Amino acid sequence: MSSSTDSPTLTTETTQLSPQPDTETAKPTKKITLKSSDNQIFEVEESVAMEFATVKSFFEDSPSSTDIVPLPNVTAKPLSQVIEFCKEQIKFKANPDEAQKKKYNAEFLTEKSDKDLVDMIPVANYLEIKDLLDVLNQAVADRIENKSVEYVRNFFGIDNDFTAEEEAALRREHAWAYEGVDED
Amino acid sequence: MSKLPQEIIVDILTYLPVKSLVKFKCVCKSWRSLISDPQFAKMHLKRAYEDENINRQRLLVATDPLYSVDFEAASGGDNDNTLVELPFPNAVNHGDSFAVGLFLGSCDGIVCILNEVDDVVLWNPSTRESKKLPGPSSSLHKDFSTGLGYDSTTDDYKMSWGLDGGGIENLMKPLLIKPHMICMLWQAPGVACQYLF
Repeated sequence: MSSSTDSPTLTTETTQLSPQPDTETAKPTKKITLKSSDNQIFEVEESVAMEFATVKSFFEDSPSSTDIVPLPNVTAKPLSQVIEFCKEQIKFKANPDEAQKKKYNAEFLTEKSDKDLVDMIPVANYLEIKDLLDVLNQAVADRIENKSVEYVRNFFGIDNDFTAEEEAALRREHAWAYEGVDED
Repeated sequence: MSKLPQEIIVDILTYLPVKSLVKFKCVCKSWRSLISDPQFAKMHLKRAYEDENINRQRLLVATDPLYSVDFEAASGGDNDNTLVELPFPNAVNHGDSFAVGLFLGSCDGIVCILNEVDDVVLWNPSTRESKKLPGPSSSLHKDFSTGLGYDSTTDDYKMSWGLDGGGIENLMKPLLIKPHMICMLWQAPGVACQYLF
């Protein structure tokens, strides 16, 4: 794979890049064009796009389609991060290396902000990328596991609908579970 | 930040250890209902069994006090939870010691105990819930072999017991819960064990 394809190709509609030749096969790699809800155009290799079950079925339903695949409700930033992740997974599929894959996944997740992680989840869900959805959900769980109840409410934007008495009773009943909470 | 749909929240919660889930019952009413739901307990158990990244296997060490030990402690394990002291289950509360009683079996994180006055007690060490069951009509004693298992045809947990036969009698005795004895492996604690009762 040529180094020029290592990051998602993000262009505007007016400055689309022409397909880059694949250095290994010397044949043009088929590209799929995706359009985010905020009108950003992404050209990705077919193998990467086929990781997205939603896109795959789009082409199965209309095999000869050369249209741009519109992705409503998917914005550019999380989409570009999802594409970046899937590109790496394709490489691991070609050359399985569990240790390297774990290392890459861990680094990919660690460097993301809470917001980035949570914003990628609906994208992975909509595009039906199960492996990514699993690692994202686990990463979110890891981030909240030792946090306080208040932190978790804030994290997910949840309103507390208990009365003060109800909440105090729950905390008394399971006082042991509130020991050893990390600072927010 | 995106508001996540309910099915995603459910999936995220299945990755959490039981202690966090008990804590997060007070996030809001819908989380309390979800976490208390027997169906959720099953999903959580399934995740713990099937996901190779999750290690919830622990040994119960029947000493006084009681401890649980990370099954992988010898090979590193999770340092924070390598050794956890457990309170005696409330329903076994007979005096202040656990030393007299029979361990009858365990399954899916549920431990079954016979106390000294022949109550059968189910105990989930992860949620710290325990409950007395109506005991068998005839006394269970040390000559019986017992076990706790899950019956998928009725979606229920069942205890079985039978009289030991002949030469292997000593091997078949239920383990006596007494100090300094590692008595069992328990896996993947389920969250809410109330549906077992």
